[in-house]
Amino acid sequence: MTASRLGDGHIRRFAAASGDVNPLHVDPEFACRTMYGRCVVHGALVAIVALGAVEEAMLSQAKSLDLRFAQPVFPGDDLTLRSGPRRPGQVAVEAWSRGQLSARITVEVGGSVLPSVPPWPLACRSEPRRLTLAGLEAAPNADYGDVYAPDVAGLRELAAQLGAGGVPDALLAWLAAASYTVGMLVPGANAVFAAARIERSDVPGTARLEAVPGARQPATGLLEVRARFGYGAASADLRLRAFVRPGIPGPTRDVLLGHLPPSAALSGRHALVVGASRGLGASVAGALATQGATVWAGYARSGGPAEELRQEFGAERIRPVRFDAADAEDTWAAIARITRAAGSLDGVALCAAPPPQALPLHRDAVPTALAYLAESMAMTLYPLGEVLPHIAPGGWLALVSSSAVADPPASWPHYVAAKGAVEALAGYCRRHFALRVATIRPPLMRTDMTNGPTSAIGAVAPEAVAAAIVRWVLDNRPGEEILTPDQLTAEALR
Amino acid sequence: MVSAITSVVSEAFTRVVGEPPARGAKTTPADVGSWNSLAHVQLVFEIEQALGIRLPDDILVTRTTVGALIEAAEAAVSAS
Repeated sequence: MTASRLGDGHIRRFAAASGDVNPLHVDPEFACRTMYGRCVVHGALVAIVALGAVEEAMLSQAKSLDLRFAQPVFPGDDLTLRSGPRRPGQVAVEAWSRGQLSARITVEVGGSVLPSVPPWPLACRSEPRRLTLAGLEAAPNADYGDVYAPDVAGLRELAAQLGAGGVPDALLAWLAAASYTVGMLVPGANAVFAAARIERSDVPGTARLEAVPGARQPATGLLEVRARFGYGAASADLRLRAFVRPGIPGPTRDVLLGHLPPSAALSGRHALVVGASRGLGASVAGALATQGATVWAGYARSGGPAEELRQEFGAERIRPVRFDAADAEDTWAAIARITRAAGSLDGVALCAAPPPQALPLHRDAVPTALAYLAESMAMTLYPLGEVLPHIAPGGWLALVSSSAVADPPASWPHYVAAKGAVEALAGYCRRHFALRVATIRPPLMRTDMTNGPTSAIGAVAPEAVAAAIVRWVLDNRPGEEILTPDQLTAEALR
Repeated sequence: MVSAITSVVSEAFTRVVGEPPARGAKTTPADVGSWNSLAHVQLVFEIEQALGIRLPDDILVTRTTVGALIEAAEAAVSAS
């Protein structure tokens, strides 16, 4: 068993040497709008590190590589390598991080010695394609190939620094080509690399990747890509799988009006929505705006979506305010600005939460779970502690929890604990402040934060949940303190 | 006798999850840590490809037992 840690510098070097500059790996602004919330280490780089644990003599006779990516690896994660299941003619390595399997790499051995790679310079495109499943459906037999050769010297140097100096050049090039194919060619920017089978080919080729999309699973966005990597005597055939993430549109006035008729019931009222640029928060801000409220829309990073929200619902209704709710001074300064401009607030919706990642209840996952809980609590407590004195008597407070509190899914103990704490705070505020306080337990919604393979199946539109929350604000029904998933789902079906 | 469909599901499981279903049709996600939601989606995909069928979407979000996958595959093959 060996351990290593991959950082931002390693990611940048792999991106430069492989040509895979997919924004999920190298663009924090892009990555923060995905279900991962931040940049992810290239799966192929994890595979290179894992292959460093295999005997060089075996690797030099590799016939094929089989890669399975189970969970993302983030910069700074400790990566532990373990021997995987052994079968005749195969050797397998598993990479574990945060107490769970991240990747399994199986090498089929027993072939002739791998050939040398050609001395071709890096040749690649600089921007990823942005193909969607619908676009691929429209041109099912297109070849998305391109000229390609990786910088093998750069890959070799990086591998050596990571303890994988014995990985043959041909395998480094194949892994780079696999990463580049899904990350840059097809589907490109919206890809999440899931699996690969790479087989050496006896048919030599020039520096080119031919990539053709194959079978797909529309409900999840899973796509198979068949590619041929022409690379002199070290050519290879690739069979790759990636999830294609669909775009998640922001809330629109038209969709919201389908759930909540417009009114002027909140005209002259001021509300603060924390976490208002995306997902449920954006829909709550939009729904309040359709009722005439002036909405101070707090957001941390997603300036573009916040501006789109303002344009959709009107500059007189939506007032974006940039602050990071997990940062005390940033939050205090922003709330001071808001309350100076607005006077008191009539209501506050706390919708911000860190993007959750699956974690087991395991000792290796505890540091990550604690960090998640701390960030989640900060994003609730800093705004809450500052804004409470500024909410007008009889005003309202909505705290967003989750249906997971009542029905905890596997691998989300930290998330359930964080949302349980949010609910406890709601109870505290209900008892000790003269406010109407709602605990919101949304059902599964499709948002940037949940935009995974199965998130569309049975998901409820955030606009529908937001409409139910604003109806609670408007109706002022006594005793209604917890908006349950069933209530909120029923709202979506109205 | 093991049916052809059971063999297909078992082989797909072994490829995707990395180990054979330890308790056969009774194997659950609790028995195999790496049978997570991403692996499950790919497992369904491999079964669909191998048998030339389409399984219902609810199979994609419910991980119960290997036996449930076999039953769903048998039903889809019968209906095709």
